[in-house]
Amino acid sequence: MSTESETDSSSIYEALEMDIKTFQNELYAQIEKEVHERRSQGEYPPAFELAMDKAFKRHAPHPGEASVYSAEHLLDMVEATGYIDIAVPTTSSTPGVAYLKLFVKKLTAWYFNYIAQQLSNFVVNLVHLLRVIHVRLDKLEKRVYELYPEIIAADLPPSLGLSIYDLVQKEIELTSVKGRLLVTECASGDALKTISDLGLDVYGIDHREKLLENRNDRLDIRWETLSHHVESLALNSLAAVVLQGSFELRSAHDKADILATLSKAIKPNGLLLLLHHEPAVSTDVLDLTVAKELAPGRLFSEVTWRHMLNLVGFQVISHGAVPPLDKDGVLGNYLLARLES
Amino acid sequence: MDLEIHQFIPSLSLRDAVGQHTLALQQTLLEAGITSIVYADEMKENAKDYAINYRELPRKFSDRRFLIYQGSTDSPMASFLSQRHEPILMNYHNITPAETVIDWDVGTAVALGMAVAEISRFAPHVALAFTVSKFNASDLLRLGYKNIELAAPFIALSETHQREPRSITQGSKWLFVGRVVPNKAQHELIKAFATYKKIYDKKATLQIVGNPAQIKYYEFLQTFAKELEVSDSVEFLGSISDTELAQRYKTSDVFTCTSRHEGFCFPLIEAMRNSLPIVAFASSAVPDTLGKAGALVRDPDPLSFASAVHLVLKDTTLQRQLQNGAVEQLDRYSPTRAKIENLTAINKVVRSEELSAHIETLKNSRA
Repeated sequence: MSTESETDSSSIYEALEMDIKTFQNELYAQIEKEVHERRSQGEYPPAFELAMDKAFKRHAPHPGEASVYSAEHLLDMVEATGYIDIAVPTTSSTPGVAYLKLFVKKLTAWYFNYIAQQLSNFVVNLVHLLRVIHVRLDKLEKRVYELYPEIIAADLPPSLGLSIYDLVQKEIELTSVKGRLLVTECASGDALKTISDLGLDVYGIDHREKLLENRNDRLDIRWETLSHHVESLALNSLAAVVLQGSFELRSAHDKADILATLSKAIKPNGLLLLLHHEPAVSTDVLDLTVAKELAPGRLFSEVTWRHMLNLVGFQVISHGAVPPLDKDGVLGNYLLARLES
Repeated sequence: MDLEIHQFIPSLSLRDAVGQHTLALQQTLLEAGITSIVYADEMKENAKDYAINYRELPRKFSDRRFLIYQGSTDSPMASFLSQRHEPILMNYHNITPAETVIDWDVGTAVALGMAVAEISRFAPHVALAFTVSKFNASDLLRLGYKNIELAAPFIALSETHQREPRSITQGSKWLFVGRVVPNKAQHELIKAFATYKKIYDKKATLQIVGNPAQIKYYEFLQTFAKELEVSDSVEFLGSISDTELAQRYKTSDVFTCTSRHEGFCFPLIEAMRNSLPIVAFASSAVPDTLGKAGALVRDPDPLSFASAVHLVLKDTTLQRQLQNGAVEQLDRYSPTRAKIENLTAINKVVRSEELSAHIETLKNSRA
C-alpha cells in the first residue's frame, strides 16, 4: 500500500529514490552552470524570450475565447436533445407484440404529444436564457482580459518604489546564495543589475510592458505576471527571491497564496527578501493615497508579514528600513527570511 | 467452480496503451488458469474480436467472480458495475486535468471534469485500486480511494534499435511522440527548440509525432512555429504507422518531452528501448518513469531545456550513463515484473492459493 506522503503530487520529485535524486541533482547542476554561462555571455538575449512570449500570447486563445465556440456548441446540443421524440419503436421479435405496442402507442399518443410539446418549449426557453447569459458573460470575460494588465499596472505608484542597492551590499546572507535568484517587478532592471554585479545568477519579471521597453538587454528580464510566474516554478528551483512591488497591495488571500507557492519553489534554507511599507505610510503623497484606496488589498504591518511568513515555513533573520527610489518617495521596510529545511 | 476475473473497459482500441494493457492483463490471467473475458462499451477497429458488450455479463451473482474496471474516462459502465455484488477492482489510467485544456476546448474540459467526478463517485464501490505510477496513486488518494497498490504497466514491445553514443553538435534530430493536446505542451518544446537552434545548432530539426486530437491547438502550433521562424525545421507528422515510428526512433538523436501532465508517459520507455538519450521536463509522473535514463529539467525556462539537450548530445560519457540508467529502468518495467505486480495486487482481493502459487512460479522464473 502506498502511503499518502509517498504519493503527494507536490513531492513527486522529492519522493524519487535517493540514487536517482542524487544523479539528477548532479546533472541539473551542470545544466544550471551551462545556462549561467550562456546568459552571462549574452548569447541568450532576454528580448528573444520576450518575443517568444509575445508570439504565444498573440496566437493562443484568450481566456473565454474558446468558450465562444464550445459553449455555443454545447448549447446547440442541449437544444437539439430538448426536442422529445414520441415516435416509440413498435417492432418486436415476439409475434403479436408489435400490434400490441402499436395499439398502446396510438392510444397514448395524444397524451405524450401534449407533455412532449411542453417539455420542448421549456428547453427552448431555457436555452434562450442560457444564450443571453453566455453572450453577456463572454463580453465580460473579454473586457476583464483587456483591462487586466492596466488594473495590475495601475496599483503601484512610483512613490512606493524602493532602492535595494545599500541593502544588498549590507546583507551578506543574500550575496552568498548559491543558485538562481528571482526579483519580482524589476522594471527596467536597476535592482537586477546591482545583484548581477555581485556575480549572482539573477533574473527578473515584470508585467508592465512599457517599463520593459527601457530594459537593460544584458539582463534576463521576462514579461510575466507574478501569479503566472510563481505557478510555473519548479519545486526547489530558486535559491532566493526578492519580493517587491504591487504584491503588497493585493488581497490577503493573494498574498498568502503567492507566499505559499514561493515556499515550494525556494530550496530548503533559501532566502526571501520581502520589501514592504507600513499601513501608516504618509498620506501626503497624492498617487499613494489614490493607489491605497483603489487597491484590492491593504498594506500589512511588519507583525502581520512575520506571522504570514512563519505560517508557510519562513523564519525572519533580519529586518530594517529601505530608502525610496526617488526623493519624493516614501521610506519602506524589509524582512529577510530563511526557509526552514 | 472456476475462478473468474473479468475486465471492463469503456473503449477498447488495439492501438492505444490502455487497450494493449487490458489485453495483456487478460493474457496474464488466462496463463494463470483463470477465466477472463474483456467487456467493452465501445470497440474500435478490429477490437470486436477481443471483447464483448458489457451488458452480456451474466446477471446471476457468483462468489468466484471478480471484476476489474479500467478507469480512464467517464462511461455508463461505472454505474453498471456499482450495482453489481461481485468485488470490484479499479485499474486507474489517469485523467487529464480539465484546467489544462479549458482555454482551448471547453467541451473537452467539461467531459474531463465529468470523468473525474465519476471516478470519485465510484470509489466506495472499489475494494482495491491499482495503478502504474506514484503520481496516479496521489490522484486516487485525492479522489477518495483508500486501498491503493502500484503495479508496472504492460508495455507492447515494438521493433527497437540499439544506438552507440555519439557526440552531436550540428544537425541534431529531436523527437517527441504523443497526442497533440495542450497538456503535452508541444508549444514549450517549440520554444526550447527555437532557443537551441539560435544558440547551439542552426541545422537542428524537431519531429512532432502524434494524433492531432485538439485541432485548434494543432493549428496554433503550426502558426507559432512559423512566427518563431522555425517552421522549416519542425515536422508535424501526425499519427504514423508502427514501422515509420520505429524508423523515427532509430534515426533520431534525442527524445525531448516538455509535457506538463503524464500519468506514466509510455514514449519514454520506447525511447529507452531504442537507447535514445532523453531530456524531459520534471512534471507529474515523468521523473518516476524516467529514473536515471534521461536529464530532468526543473526550470520551465526554454534556455534550461535547450542547454540540457546540448549537454546530453555533446557528451558521450553522459549518453552511456543514461543508457545504463535505461537498462535499470527497463528492468523495472519488464513484462514478467508487470505480470507479478499486477497479479499480486489483484490477489490482495481475490486471495486465491492457486494464484499465489502462480505468482511464486513467475518470481522463481525471474530469479
